[in-house]
Amino acid sequence: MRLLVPVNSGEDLKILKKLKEAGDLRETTELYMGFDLPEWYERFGPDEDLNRMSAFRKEANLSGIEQVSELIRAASGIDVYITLNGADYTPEEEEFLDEVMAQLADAGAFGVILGDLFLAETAIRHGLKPVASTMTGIYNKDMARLCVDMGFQRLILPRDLTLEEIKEIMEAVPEAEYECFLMRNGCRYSDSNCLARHSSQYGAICTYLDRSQYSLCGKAAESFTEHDASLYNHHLFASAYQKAACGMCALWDLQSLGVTAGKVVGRADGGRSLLSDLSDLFYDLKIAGRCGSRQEYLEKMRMPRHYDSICYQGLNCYYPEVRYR
Amino acid sequence: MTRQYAYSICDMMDRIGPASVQEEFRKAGLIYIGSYFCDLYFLSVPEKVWEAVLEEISGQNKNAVLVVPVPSQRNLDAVKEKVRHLLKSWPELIAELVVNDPAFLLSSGEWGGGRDVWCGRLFSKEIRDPRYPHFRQNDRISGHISEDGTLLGTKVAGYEKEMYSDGRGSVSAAVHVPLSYISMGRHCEIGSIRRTVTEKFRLWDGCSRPCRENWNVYRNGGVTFLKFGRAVYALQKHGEDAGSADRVIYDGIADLVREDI
Repeated sequence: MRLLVPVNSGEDLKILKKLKEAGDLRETTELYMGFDLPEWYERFGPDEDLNRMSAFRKEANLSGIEQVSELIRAASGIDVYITLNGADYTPEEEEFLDEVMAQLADAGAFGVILGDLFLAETAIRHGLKPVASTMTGIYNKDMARLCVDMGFQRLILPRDLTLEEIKEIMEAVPEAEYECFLMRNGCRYSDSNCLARHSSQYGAICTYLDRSQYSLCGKAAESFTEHDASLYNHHLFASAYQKAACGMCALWDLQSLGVTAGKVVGRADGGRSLLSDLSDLFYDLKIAGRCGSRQEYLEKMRMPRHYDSICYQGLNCYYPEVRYR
Repeated sequence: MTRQYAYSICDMMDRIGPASVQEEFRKAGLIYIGSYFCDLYFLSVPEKVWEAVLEEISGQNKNAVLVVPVPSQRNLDAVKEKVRHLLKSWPELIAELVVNDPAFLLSSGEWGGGRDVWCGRLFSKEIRDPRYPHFRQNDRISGHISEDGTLLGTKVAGYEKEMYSDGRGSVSAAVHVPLSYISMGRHCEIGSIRRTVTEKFRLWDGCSRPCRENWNVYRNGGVTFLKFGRAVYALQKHGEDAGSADRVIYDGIADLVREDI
C-alpha cells in the first residue's frame, strides 16, 4: 500500500523528500494537490468551486496550472493526482474542465480526483487516470460498480465505512483500485452528503454547530437522567469525536485487503505539520508488511503522535473496530 | 401542471397519529414514507408501524410515496429486500418512489414496477447553506437530465430540492418546506444517547430509533438549525415560498418539533 500525501508547495515536497522512512518515494508515495485558476473565477464567478477546498484559496491550493506543472516536474516520477472534486459542475463548467484536463495531462499529471460522475470519460480521453472522489459517495458495491462502469479506475471510499464493508465492496468490484482514509482531519458527517460550504469564513457546518447556542429537546428535557445522558453524549460528539482522526491501527488490515493507497488528509496544513504523521505511517507500513496477523502488528506498531491525547475509546479512530469490536 | 401537495412523515413514521390530523397532512394528496437519510431507521421501523402508516394513508384516500435512503454496504441487501416487500404488499397504494443513490436509481427499473421514480434530496450535490444567503440550491441536476427525462439512462419523473429557484428542466421539480436539508453522516449523535462510549456514534448493531423522541436545536447568526436523526436541517426563513415548483412537500418533522423551533 502506498501513502497518498498532500502537497501545496515546493517546500512541502522538499520536506517529504528528506523523510528517510519514506524510502524510494516513487515506490511508496503518491502526491495530490489542488490549484486555483483565475480564469475559472472570471468565467463562473468567485463562489464557484474548482475543487472541494477552493474556498480556502492559497491556503490549500497552488496558483495556476504553471505551478502545478513545476511541482510535477520537481516530483521526479512520483505519481501526482490533481483534485477537481467539486460535485455539481454545470455542463458549461464541465466543458471548461475538458480544456483544463488537457493542460493537466500536458503538465504530466498522472490522474485527477473527480467528484462529478460525468467527468471520468473526459479524464480518460486525456490520458489521465480518473479517480472517484469521496464526494461521489461510494457507500455500497452497486455504487462502486456504477463508478467503474462510468470509467473510474480508482475509487476513494468514504471515511465512515467499516473495514468489513470495504472488504465486501472490494470483493464485489475487484477490477478497481481502492483508496481509503488513513490519517488526520476526521469528519462527523459525510463528504458526499454534506452540502454546506467549507470555507474559513464560518468554518464547516459541524464546527459551526459546536459553537452555536443549543437546546437538547424532546425526551432530554423530561428528566435529569435523560438530560444527563443526552448532554454527556452531546459533549462527546461535539468536543471529543473525530478531532484528530487516525487509522494507524488498521494499516495491517488495509494492506491485507489489497487497498492501493492510504490517504493522508491535510491540503491546508502544510508539509511541516504532516511530517511526524508521515514518518510514523511509513515506519508502520514497513512493520505491517512483516507481520502475519493484526495482533502481531498491533504489538509491534509505532503509536501515533499525540497518542496520549487522541487514542481514547475509539473516538478518533477511522476504523475503531480494529480495537473495539 | 396543477401543483401537488405532499406531506412527509419520513424519519418519523411512528408519529403517524399526531401527524395525520395536521392541516398540511389533510391538504396533501401524497404522503411520503420511509427515510431520506438513514438506512438503519428504514430497516428498524417495525412491520406493524409500516402497516399502521399505510392503512392510515389508505383510509384517508391518499397515495404513498416510498422514500429509500442511500443503503450502506452492510444494509444493502436488507434495504433491497424491504423495498421489494413493501412494493409487493402495497402495490396500489405506493404510487411513486424516491431514491437518493445513483446506483439505486439504475436498478429501479428492475424492482420499481413501472412506478414513477424521483431523484431525492441527496441526489443533487449543490451547496445549500443558509449561512451564505447567495448559496441557494438551484436546478443544476436538471442539466444532466436529458430532454426525454432520463438520468444515467434511467427515466426519472422529477427531482427534489430544498428551496425555490427559477430554473426548470425537462422533468418536474418538488420543493421541501419548511426545513432545508444541509448535512448528514452515518456517525449518529442522537442514536448514541444511551450507548457506552465505545459503542457510540457508529451504531454497529443497528438502532432502536432514539430519534423518535430526541432532537437538538441550534441557533446562530439568525438561523435556526435542527438535528433530527442523522440529518441537519435549517428552518427556512419566514416568507420564503415554493415558487413555481410542481410539487410542495411539507416536512412533518417541523410539526413534531414546532414548539422548539
